[in-house]
Amino acid sequence: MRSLLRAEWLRQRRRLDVWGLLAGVVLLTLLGYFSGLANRIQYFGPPGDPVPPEVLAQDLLLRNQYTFPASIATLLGMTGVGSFLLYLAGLYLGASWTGLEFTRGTIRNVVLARPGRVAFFAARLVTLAAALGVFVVVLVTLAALLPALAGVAWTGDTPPPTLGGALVYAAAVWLLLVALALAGTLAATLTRSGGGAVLVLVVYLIAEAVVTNLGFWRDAGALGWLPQLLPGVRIGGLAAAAEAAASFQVPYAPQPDPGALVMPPLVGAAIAAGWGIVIVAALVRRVSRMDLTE
Amino acid sequence: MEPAIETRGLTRTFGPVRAVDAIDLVVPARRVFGFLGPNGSGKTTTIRLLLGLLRPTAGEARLLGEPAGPGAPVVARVGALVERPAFYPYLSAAENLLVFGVTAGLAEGPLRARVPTLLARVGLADVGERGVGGFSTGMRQRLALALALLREPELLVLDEPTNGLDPAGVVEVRQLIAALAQDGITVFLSTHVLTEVEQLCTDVAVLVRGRIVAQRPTRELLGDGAGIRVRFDSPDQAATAAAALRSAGFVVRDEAPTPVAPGTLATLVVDAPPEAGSHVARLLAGRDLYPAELAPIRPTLEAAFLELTRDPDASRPPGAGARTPGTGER
Repeated sequence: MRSLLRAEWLRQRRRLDVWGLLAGVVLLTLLGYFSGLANRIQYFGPPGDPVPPEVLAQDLLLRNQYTFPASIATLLGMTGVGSFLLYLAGLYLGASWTGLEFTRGTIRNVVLARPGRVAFFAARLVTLAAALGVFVVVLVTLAALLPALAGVAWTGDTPPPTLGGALVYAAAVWLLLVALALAGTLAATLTRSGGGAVLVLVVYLIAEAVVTNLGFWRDAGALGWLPQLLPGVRIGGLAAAAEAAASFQVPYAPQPDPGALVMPPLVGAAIAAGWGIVIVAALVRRVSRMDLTE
Repeated sequence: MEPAIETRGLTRTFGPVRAVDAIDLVVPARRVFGFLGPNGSGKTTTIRLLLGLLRPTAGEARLLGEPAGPGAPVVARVGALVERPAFYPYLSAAENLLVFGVTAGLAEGPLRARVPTLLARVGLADVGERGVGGFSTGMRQRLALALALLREPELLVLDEPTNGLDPAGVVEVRQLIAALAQDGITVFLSTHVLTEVEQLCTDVAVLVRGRIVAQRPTRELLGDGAGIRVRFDSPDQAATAAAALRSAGFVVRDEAPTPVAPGTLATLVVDAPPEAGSHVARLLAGRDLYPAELAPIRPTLEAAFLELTRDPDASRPPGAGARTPGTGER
């Protein structure tokens, strides 16, 4: 396994698309942070009137989002649910990390060099998870550095979120990315292509979102829980569960629908883990049995 | 000595098509074995089955005495060049070898030291640090050969190794294969270039529509059509000569048709090795028969191959008989 991981590092470190993606995430984060920090709530009251306290409180809340450690959730939310760039990066890396091996035909060389296919794919997933971890760590590091550079600190009567809570949220985002990448890897082995894998996953996620948001489920009684069991919903729910556990509201995150069914976080996490096991089992079966015609 | 490759009833179907149809192949160790067949005969599918890239529908294969198949550890003792070599375009030739070598579990330090030697052996020493994305087909083929040699294999499986190479490259690769054979490596060579097989291979198998139609030493295959052609000015002389040769124990298998058109020679073909020409000449001279021409017939592998792979249905009119579905390779 060690040699496989070493080979992965020798190979992936030269991929310009991965470095480009990371640079894009960093640039967007810098832009988003400073433009967000400069943003102020506009109040258009009668001239000479003082700004109402609720508007000032709202403005303070907005500004506090850019202070450490709240900035961790802000930056992850901005690149994640805000712009989807982080999630698209997870999807792309998951699909391309394996899919390009099929598109280029190099999977043949790999399997001939290392007959144990499952070990190779396991090493690939480990490096993929590590690469996605780098993305999250870079964002967390920026979240620590940028408030210091901008000289902003938490003010007001409300207590700031804890660092532990923010890091739990960061870990949940990383898990979500790994789950996306895992699904991307499975899709890549099924479609034997990176592009095909991205297409399949995007179509699936859109279809799942459409089905989940059908009004039918509201009046369906116990059946209304069915869409809550779908893999995309549950894996996406990991970040929401972490947000609830850390007791803070992540900027850019969608507000929960008051009438919607809410699954207990632990049950949701257990179902998400179940889906993870199903995907890994399907991947192992596919990888060990598939014909390599490339 | 255990055969380097042995298959029993190895079969692979793709839907209704039997790409490889119950083949029994025995490749002796330490030989250069030619694997011939027309396009779509199932050569590449057979190679993929041997290397564990495809799962067989039926039958089994053994490499170097061990079971072969997907995930089989024996593949680590085999070097392979499969058609359309593929590499990471963003890595250099040397980096590609390094990555696949480390993937194979080779120690990185010695591997880094060995890569330049390997690149030099396949004629890529000057471009080892260049990105593979800009390589020509021939350069990729050379790099694939270096990759096949990376682990100092006991068995080398080469699918069209000279494909895309310039004439000098073809000669270099042939010399390399000959040198590897001298080192005791078994080479399983699939190719369309029959001169390559004639020059290099000690044994040959011919695959047609997924079935092996011939498997024997190359010398034996070439000997099948050998003979001595004897031509006379008149049919009478030819008939007398035929009788004389038969009485001496020769088999005369193709007498001239009679009557012979004026101005043409009457021809006999004697079933005998070409080296027996002088003996035939002496025998005929002893009977006062002097042929206008006496020449050895040395069949080429091309002729033998064409004979073996001839489509028996080709001369029938369309619809006269059922034809086996094509065995297109995937």
